[in-house]
Amino acid sequence: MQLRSPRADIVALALLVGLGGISAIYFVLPFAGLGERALSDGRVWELTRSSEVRAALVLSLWTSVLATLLAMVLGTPVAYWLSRSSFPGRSIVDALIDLPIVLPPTVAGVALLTAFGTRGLIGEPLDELTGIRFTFTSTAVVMAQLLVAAPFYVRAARAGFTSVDPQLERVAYTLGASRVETFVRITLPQARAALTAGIVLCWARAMGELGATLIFAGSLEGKTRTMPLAIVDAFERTTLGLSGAVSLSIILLVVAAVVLVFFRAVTPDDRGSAWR
Amino acid sequence: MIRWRLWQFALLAGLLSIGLASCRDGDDGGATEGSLTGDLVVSAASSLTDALTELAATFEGTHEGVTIRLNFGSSSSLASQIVEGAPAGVFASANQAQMQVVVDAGLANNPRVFAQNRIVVVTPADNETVQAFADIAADGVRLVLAGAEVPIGDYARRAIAAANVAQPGFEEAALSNLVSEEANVRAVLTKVELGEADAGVVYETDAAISGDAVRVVPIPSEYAAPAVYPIAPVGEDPPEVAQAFVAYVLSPAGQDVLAKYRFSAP
Repeated sequence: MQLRSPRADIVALALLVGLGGISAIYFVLPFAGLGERALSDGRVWELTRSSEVRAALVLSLWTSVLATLLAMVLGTPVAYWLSRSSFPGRSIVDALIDLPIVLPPTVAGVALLTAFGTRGLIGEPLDELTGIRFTFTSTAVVMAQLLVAAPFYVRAARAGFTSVDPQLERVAYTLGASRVETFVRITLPQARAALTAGIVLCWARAMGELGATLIFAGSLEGKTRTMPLAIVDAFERTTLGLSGAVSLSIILLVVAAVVLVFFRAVTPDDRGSAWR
Repeated sequence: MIRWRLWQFALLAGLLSIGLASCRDGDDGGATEGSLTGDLVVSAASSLTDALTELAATFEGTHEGVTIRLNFGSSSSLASQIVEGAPAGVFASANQAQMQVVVDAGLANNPRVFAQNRIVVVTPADNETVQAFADIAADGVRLVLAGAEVPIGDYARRAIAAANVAQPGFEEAALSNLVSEEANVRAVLTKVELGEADAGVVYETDAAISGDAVRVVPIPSEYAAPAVYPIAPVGEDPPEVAQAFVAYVLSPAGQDVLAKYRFSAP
């Protein structure tokens, strides 16, 4: 048994300051680097107004919003059902829903190809019967985003619904409210903070999707080349190189910051929410 | 007290290892004659993947102290990386333009052409849509090319533009069939192998690697000039091991390996 010595305290303090300093440098410096490059390289601003950048931004915005809306429509019932029921194998369903969160997105891309690709499980018969193909279309972009991003929404929504006291719902039923009315007027507002957090996480993940999109949807301006793919493409091109990649990154950074501030402003300051 | 000693020891060990590591980096260029040592990063065009992997293994076999790390990608992304300061000892490009980017940045001198290649159209083996080069402009063909600055993407677009002279409207029709611009030649090949695309333009050497998975449709030679591969040591003062590797690739033994993978001599 060793008593704490003043010297050990000094070591601990030095360690704390040292690690804190390293973190500050490591997590702040990359953004400082982006800013410095943007200020010193005149082409960065020129490129933000180019048609390629505009096409990528427009595509990224509408596909990520659509993927998020789909995640809400498909995910809300699942999240509610999971929060209100218990059945054998529930933990397996939970794990399956969480799987895309821990899986590298490139795996999701390959998986999508094997299912919906031209020679995929469903893709092949669908192509033969109807001529419909998903690969290389904007639909494929939304599909890739939905697969990797929806679990973030479902997770948050499930936690939010679980935190709503079932007693409140029962009271509403006894007062004559229907199930749907109760859900819309009691459950949803109670879980609002968690749902908002889920929506933001899901959208951000969809906006940042790269690996699955590249593999499943390909890369073509205005059709499948979203902002993250455009950054990769810019770096592939020596005429754009880092300047092009920086100008796209700056735009993504600004969009992300605006969304973050907006959602913080509209989210109620609930305690126990996953947000804040 | 003992704990404090341990701290000192750990700190000392850490500093020592950093010191040793930096010494080792510094040694790369200063090897004595006959016994080359050190790490060598070779950045090479994707189409060279198989040939250079074998060349590097053979070179390592004859030079005990040398470790070669291979970095494959499109020549355009490799040139971007090198100009932005990524470590590279040797750059092997699939066209002159991307080598020139590195030369213009003052990071390579006197590149030498070490191989040539030809570009071809590939289609999935079980896909009958494209029978001749002209068919890539037919309605509804799903065409995949590499990006315009990737050498194979550039060669392909030049061939399409050349065909447009004899057949006005060909270029517009072919490029309207474009469904994806891939990052490098191997990504184009994969999209065709998977059957997602009806046609793609790759090098003859890549098509050979795919074997039965793809069918090769030649591009008339009047439209497609041969692809040329220049190589050069990288850096203002390239290490001796980089010079030696370049010399080996250009030597008869190196050329034999390249010929095995169907590259033609410069």
